[in-house]
Amino acid sequence: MRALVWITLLFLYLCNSSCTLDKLPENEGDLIHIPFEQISYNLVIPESLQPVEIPASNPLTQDGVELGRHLFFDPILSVDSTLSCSSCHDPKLAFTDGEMTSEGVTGERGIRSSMSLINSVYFNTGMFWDGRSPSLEDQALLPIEDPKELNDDWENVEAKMRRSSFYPEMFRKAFGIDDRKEITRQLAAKALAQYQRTLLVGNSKFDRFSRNEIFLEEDERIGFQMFFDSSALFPDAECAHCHPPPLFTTNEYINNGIEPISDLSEFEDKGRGEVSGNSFDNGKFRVTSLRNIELSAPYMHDGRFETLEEVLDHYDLGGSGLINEDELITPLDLTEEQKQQIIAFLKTLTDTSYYENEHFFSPFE
Amino acid sequence: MNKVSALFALISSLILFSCGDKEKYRDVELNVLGMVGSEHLVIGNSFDFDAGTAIITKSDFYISDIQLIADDGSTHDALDIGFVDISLTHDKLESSKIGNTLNLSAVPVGNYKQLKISIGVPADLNSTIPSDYPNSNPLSRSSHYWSAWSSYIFQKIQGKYDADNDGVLETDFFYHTGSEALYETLSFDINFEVADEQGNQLKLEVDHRAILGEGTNYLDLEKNPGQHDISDLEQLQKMTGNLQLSMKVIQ
Repeated sequence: MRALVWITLLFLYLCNSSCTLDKLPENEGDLIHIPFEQISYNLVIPESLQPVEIPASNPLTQDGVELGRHLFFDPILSVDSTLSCSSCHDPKLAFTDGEMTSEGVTGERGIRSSMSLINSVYFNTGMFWDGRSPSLEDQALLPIEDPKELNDDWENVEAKMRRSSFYPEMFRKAFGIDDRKEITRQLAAKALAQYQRTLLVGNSKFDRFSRNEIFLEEDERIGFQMFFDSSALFPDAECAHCHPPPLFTTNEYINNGIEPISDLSEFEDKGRGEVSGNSFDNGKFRVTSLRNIELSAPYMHDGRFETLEEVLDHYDLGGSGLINEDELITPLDLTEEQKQQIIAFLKTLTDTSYYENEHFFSPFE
Repeated sequence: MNKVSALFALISSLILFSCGDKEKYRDVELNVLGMVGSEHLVIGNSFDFDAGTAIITKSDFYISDIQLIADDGSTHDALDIGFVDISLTHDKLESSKIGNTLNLSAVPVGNYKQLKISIGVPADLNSTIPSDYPNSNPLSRSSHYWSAWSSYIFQKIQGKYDADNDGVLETDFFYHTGSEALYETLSFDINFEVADEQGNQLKLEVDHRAILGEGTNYLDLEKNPGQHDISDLEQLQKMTGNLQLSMKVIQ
C-alpha cells in the first residue's frame, strides 16, 4: 500500500514537471540576451552551374541555413514526431526516398514520387511536380499539414518549436527575434528554404569531361552523342530538348506520353492542369533534372518505372500520341546497345562528392 | 534690393532655360500578341492551315536589338534582348488577349517613324551560354540553347497537323531555329508618338498561320514536320522568311 502511494506521488510529480516544461516563459523578450549578428552564408556554386539568385526577402545567412538544416532533419515537424522532411528526401538518394510514392505518418501514401531537391534553388517555374507553389518558402509550408505527409498543423509545430530547448536560440540567431513567441511558420519556412538553396550538386564526371579534365569511356561518349544529337553516326535520342545542361532540365511542364489514354479528360492525376485549370495542361508534369538520376529511382512523377532501362524503353516507343504530348516524344528506334550507351552517359551525371559534406546530412547524428 | 532682384531673375531664367532644354523620357510597352489571322491564338485550339487543320502547342522566340527610329532620323536603342513566351501567355482566350509585354524603358518623348526588331540572339550574345546567367536573365534558358549548334535556339514553333481533316492530328511538327544564318532583322514603318505621360504602348501581332506560311512559302508539315538541324536550312529559312509577313505593328 505504501509503495502504491509512493508510485502515485512520483507519477503526479512527473506529470507536473513535464507540464512545467511545456509552458512558455512568461516574460517577453526572453531571447534578447542572445547575440544576433547576421553573417552571410558563403554559397559555393559548382563551376558548371549558373549564378544563383537569392531573394532579398530571405538572404542566406549562416545561422538561417543551419536552422533550416536542423528543421529539415527533425521529426518535430510531424504530428507524431516520426517523420521529417528528410524521411522522403534522403541525401544519399539525391534527396528522394527510393519509393514509388511516399508513406506519410498515418501510413497513407501520396500519389506522387518524392522529388529530388538537388539544385532546387534554380526551380524558377514553381515547386512540386505540378508547380503549384511559387517559391521554396511557400512550398515548405505545405507538407507539414498534408494528411498524407507530416499530418501536423502549424500552430502545433510552432508551439513545439517555441518550447524546444534549442530552437528559440536558433531562431533568434537566424532572424533576430526578441521573444520565442515570435517563432512562426513563415520563419521556419524561410529557414528551410535557405537550407534547400544550398543543396548544390554539379561536379559529376560529365562536368569534369566538359572542363576537359577527363575523357569519357567509349559507351559514355556514344551515349553523349545520342543524348545531344552531336554526331550523324548515331541516332538522335532527342533527350537534350528537355534535359539540357547545366541543370539537365528545362524546368518546364510537359506531357511525356506515359499515359496510354486517348482523351485529356482521362488523366487520373491531372498534374499541371489541376493548377492552371486548363485541360490542355492535363497530364503535364515537371521535367525532372537528370543530375544524379542514377540515385533517384524509381522514375516519373508516380514512380512507375523502376529502372533507367524502363525509362529508355518508354521513350524509344514514342509516347501515346495524345493531343498535348510534347512533339519531341517520337519513336527513336534505338537498339538495346544504344539504350545502354545512353544509360552509361546518364550515369556520368552522378555526383556523390557531397556525401563527404556533413552540411548535406543530419545534424542530429 | 536691385541686386537681389537681379539675382532672383537670373536664377529663375536659368531654371526655366534648363528645364526647357531637358529631354524627357517615358517607358513604352511593347505588347506582343499571338494571332491566327485576325483571331487571337489559343494554345491547343485548332485553325485552318493549308488544306488541313493545325494546332500550336508551343511558340516562343528571342527578340533583340529593338530600336525606335525618330522622325529626325536619330536611333534609340530600346532593348538588347528579351524573350517572348507565347505558349505561357496564350493558354486561354482571356490571357491571349493580354499577351506578353516587354518594357522599353526610358524612351525619349517624341515622334517615331520606324520600329526595328530582330528575332534571335545577336552574335555577341550568342557566343555565351545559359550557365553564364542567373535565372532572371532571358539568356539563362537552357531550354533555348542547343549545344550541337553552339547557338541559342532563336525561335520554337511546335504543334500538330491534320492534313486530311479527318479529325485526327496525325502529324507532330516542330521547328527550332538558331545560328547566325537565321538571325532575322525586321523593320516596321510606324507613326508613333511617345507622349509625356504613362501608358505609351505599341502592339506587335504575330500571325502564326503566316509563320507556317502561305502560297509558295508554306512549311510542308507533312513531309518535313521536324526540323532542328541547321545543316539543312531550307525549311527553317522558309520559316524565318515568313516572319516579316507574320508580324505587324498596331499603334
